[in-house]
Amino acid sequence: MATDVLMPKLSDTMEEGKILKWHKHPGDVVKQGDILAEVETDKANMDIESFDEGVVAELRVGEGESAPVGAVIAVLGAAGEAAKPQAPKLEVARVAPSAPRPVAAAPKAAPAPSKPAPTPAPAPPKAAATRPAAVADRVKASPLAKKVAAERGVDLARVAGSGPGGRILREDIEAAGGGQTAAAPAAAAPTARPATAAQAGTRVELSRTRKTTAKRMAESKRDVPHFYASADIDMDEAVRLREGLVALGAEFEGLTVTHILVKACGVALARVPEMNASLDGDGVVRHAQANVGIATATDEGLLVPVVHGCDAAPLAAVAQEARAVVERARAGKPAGEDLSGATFTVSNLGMFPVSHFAAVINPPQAAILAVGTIREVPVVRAGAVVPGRLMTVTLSCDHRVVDGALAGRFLRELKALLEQPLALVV
Amino acid sequence: MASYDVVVIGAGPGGYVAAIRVAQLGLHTAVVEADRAGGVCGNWGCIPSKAILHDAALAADLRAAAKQQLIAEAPAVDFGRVIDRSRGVADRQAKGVEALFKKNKIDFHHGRGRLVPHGVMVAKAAGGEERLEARNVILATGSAERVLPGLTIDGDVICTSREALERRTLPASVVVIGGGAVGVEFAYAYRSFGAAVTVVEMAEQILPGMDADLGKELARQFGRQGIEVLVGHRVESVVRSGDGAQVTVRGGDAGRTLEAHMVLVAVGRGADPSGLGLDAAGIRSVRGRVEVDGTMRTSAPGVYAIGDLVGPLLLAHAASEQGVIAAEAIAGAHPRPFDPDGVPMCVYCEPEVAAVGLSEAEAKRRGLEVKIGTFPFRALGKAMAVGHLEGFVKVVLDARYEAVLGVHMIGHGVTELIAAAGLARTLEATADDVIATSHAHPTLSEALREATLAAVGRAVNI
Repeated sequence: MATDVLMPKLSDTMEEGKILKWHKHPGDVVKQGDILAEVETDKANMDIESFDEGVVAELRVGEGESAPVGAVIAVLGAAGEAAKPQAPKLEVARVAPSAPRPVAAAPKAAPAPSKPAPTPAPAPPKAAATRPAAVADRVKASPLAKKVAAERGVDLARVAGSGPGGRILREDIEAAGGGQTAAAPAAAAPTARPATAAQAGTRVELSRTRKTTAKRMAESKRDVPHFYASADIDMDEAVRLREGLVALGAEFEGLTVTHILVKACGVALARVPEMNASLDGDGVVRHAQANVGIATATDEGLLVPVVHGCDAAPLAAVAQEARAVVERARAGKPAGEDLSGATFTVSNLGMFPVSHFAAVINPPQAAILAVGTIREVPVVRAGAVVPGRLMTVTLSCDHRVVDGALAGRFLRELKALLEQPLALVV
Repeated sequence: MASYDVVVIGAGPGGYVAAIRVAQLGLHTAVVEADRAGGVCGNWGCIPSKAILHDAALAADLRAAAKQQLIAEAPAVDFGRVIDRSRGVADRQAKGVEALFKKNKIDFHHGRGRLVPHGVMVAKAAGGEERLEARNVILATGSAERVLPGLTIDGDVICTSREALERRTLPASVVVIGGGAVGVEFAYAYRSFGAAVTVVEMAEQILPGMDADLGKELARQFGRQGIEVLVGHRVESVVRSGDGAQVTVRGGDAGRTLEAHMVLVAVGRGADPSGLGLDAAGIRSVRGRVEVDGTMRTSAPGVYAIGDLVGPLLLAHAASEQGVIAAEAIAGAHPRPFDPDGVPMCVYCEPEVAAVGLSEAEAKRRGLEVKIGTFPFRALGKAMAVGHLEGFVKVVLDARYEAVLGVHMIGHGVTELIAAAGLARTLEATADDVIATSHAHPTLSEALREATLAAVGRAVNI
C-alpha cells in the first residue's frame, strides 16, 4: 500500500518549501522518525521527518525545486511491495512561478522508474535518485562546490565555472546562489573560455535572503512615498582625519570612511530627532537611540547589519562594532541583534565609480542615505578655486514622516559634521 | 632602436618567468638586468642559502651518526668549502636562466633599466645608454635587505644575509636580529656548524605571521639544539667592540647585553624601485611598493609590476605566479587574479616549516568557524625509522563543509609535503577527499591524512 509524503507546513507563514537535499532515495528503507529531506522554508532550513514506514518508491520533487504545502513530494511503498506504476507527473503542482524552464530541466522527468520492479532493489530506482550525482559526473566541479551546491539547492548544470578548465568553484555557486543568473558571474569572471551554460541562458533559484529582499523592497517602493534630497559634502577634512587616526593605530586600526559616515549619521540623527522615527499607524514613533544599519553585499544577498547606539558611542567603538557586525554578516553568521533594530540605513557605494544614486527605504525606517564615491574636483574655498574632495549623498525619505525642510536640516547637520569632523572624535 | 612587445626589467624569479611566458605567447621580448640573471633568489637568497642549509643538515647527520657509533667521530667541517659550494650552485643557477633566455629567443640586456615614455632606457653595464621601444613593460626589480636605522653593515661583523652568504669564516658566536624565515635559517646553519647562536625577535613568537603553533614548536626545537631564542625582545643598540659587537636588547623591563663575533641583521626586505623612475611615469606606489590590480597592472597604461616590488608576499614563487598573470594579461588572455591565500610559505631550517592557506587565527579573524586537527610526526612509523620525531601537521578546515582552509607543518622534510596541501586547496578538496586519498605507508605524508582525520574526530594512530 503506497503512502504519499506531503510537503508539511513548517511555519505559520510557509506557503511553499524547496527541497535542498533528499536524505532518502528510491529503494531506501524508511522508519518512523527518519529524516527524509532538508527543506528551505521562508524562515529557515528544516528537516522533514517521516510519519510512516516503508520503502521509498519515488521522489516527486527534485533537489533545488519547490513544491507548495500539501503537495505530494514522495511516495513510500510497503517494505517488499513493488513500486507501483506511476501516477502522472502532472499532479505535482511545481512552483515554478514564472516562465517555462530552460532546457536543463527537461531531461529530469525522463529517468523516473515507470516500470514495475520485482523488488525495491536499489538498481532501477537509484537512477532517478541520483540525478545530482549524474549531473556531477557531467559537470566539472570541485568537491567543495558540490557540497555547497547540494546544501543550497543549486543545480550544477546551470552554473558556469570560472576555475581552471572551466571547473565550477565555490565562488561560482555563491555567485549563482546570490540570486543573479549564472550569466552575470560568467561574464564577469576572468576566464578566457566561453561559458557555454551562460550562452544558453540560465535560471538560478533565489536564495532566502534574496527572496526576502525582493519582497520587502517591492513593498517599500509600492507603499512608501519616497522623495529624495542630495547634498555635496567636502570630505577633505574627514579623509585627513581618517588617515591621521589610522596612523595612530590601536583602537582606530582599520577605520574606514563608512565608519565615519555611520558615526556622523548617528550624531546627526541625535541632533535632528524627528528624522530618527518610524510611522506607526496614525502616529510617529521617535526612537530613543540612533541605530544605523550598513547595507552590505554578502554571498547570500543584501544584508543590513546594525550598529546600535551610534549617537552616544565613541567613534572607535562604532568602528569596531561596525567591522564586527559586517564581518559576521558576510560570513553568514549574524549574531543576536546584528540584523534588527535599525532606525536608519547607510548604503555606501563609494568603493565603485558611482557619483550618486538613490536607495530604497528599508521600512519601518524613515530614511536611507545613499553615498557616492569621493571625487577630486575643484572647489571654491575662501574665494579661491582649490582642489577638493567632494562626495554626493542622497537621502531617500518617507514623506509620511519626513518633510523636505526636515531632510534639509538633517543634511545640514550631516554636512557640518563631516566637513568639520573633529566633533565626531572629541 | 630595438623595439619589443614587452620589456621586463629585472631577471629574478618574477621577471625571468614572466619573460618566458610572454615569449611562449608569441610576443617579442627583452629582459633588462643590472646583475646576474636569477635575481636575489638565484644569486643571493633561496638557492645559495639552501646549499648551505643542506650542508648544515649533513653536518648534523654526521654528528647523529657518530652518536649512534656508526662512525667513530663526526669529522670537522671546512666552512669555507660550504660557502664555495653555495657560490658554485648560485653561478650554475644564473647560467641556467641565461640559457633559458636564449632558448626562448629573449634578448638579454645587461644594465639598469629606467622607464621613459613608450619604452625603457638602459644604462648599460658596459657603459653608454640604449633606448628600448616597448609596448608593455613589466617591472620586476624585487627588494633589498632592510637594515635597522643607524646601523652600518660592514660585511664582517655586522652583516645582512647578502654578506653572510659570502663570509668564508665561521663566527664563534652570532646574534641574529629577526626571527623570520631568513633569521631562523641562518641561526640553524651557524648552530649546526658549531657557533653559539642567539635569535632576537620583537614579536611574541619566532616566524611571526605564520600559525602561532609553528613558531612555538620551532623555538622549542631550537632550544634543544642549543640556540637561545629571545622573543618579545627589542634591540636597543649594536656597538662594535674589539673583534665583535655588543648587542643590547630589552624584553619587558629586563635589559641585557649580548656579545658576539657576528651580528646578522635579518629584519625583512623592502621593495626596491630605485632608479625605475616611477614618479615620472605616473606610477602610484606606497613606501616603494607599487600598487597593482588583480592582473598586476599599475596606474600607468601598459606598465605592469610583479614580485617583491608589489607584495604582499615577498616569495620567489609568488613573484613567478604574478609574472605569469602579467604575461597572460598582456597577451590578452584573462588570467585568474593573484590569490595570496594559495601561496605556500616554506622555511628550510631543521625542523623545516611549511604552510599554505589560512592560519587558525586568520580564519577566525575572517569570521570563519573552523575544525582543527593536529597530528604529531612521532606517532608515525616512518618518523621513528628515520629518527626525526619532531614536529606536527596541523589542518584547518571550515566547520561547515570541512573544506581545507589551511595546512601548517613543522618537521623533517615538510617543505616537500606542502604541495599536496596546496593542491587540495586549489581543487577545493574537503576532508572527505583528503581522507579518501590513499597515502603510502610508511611515509611522512601520512601525517596530512591523519591530521585531517583528527580534525573530523577520526584519528587512527593517536
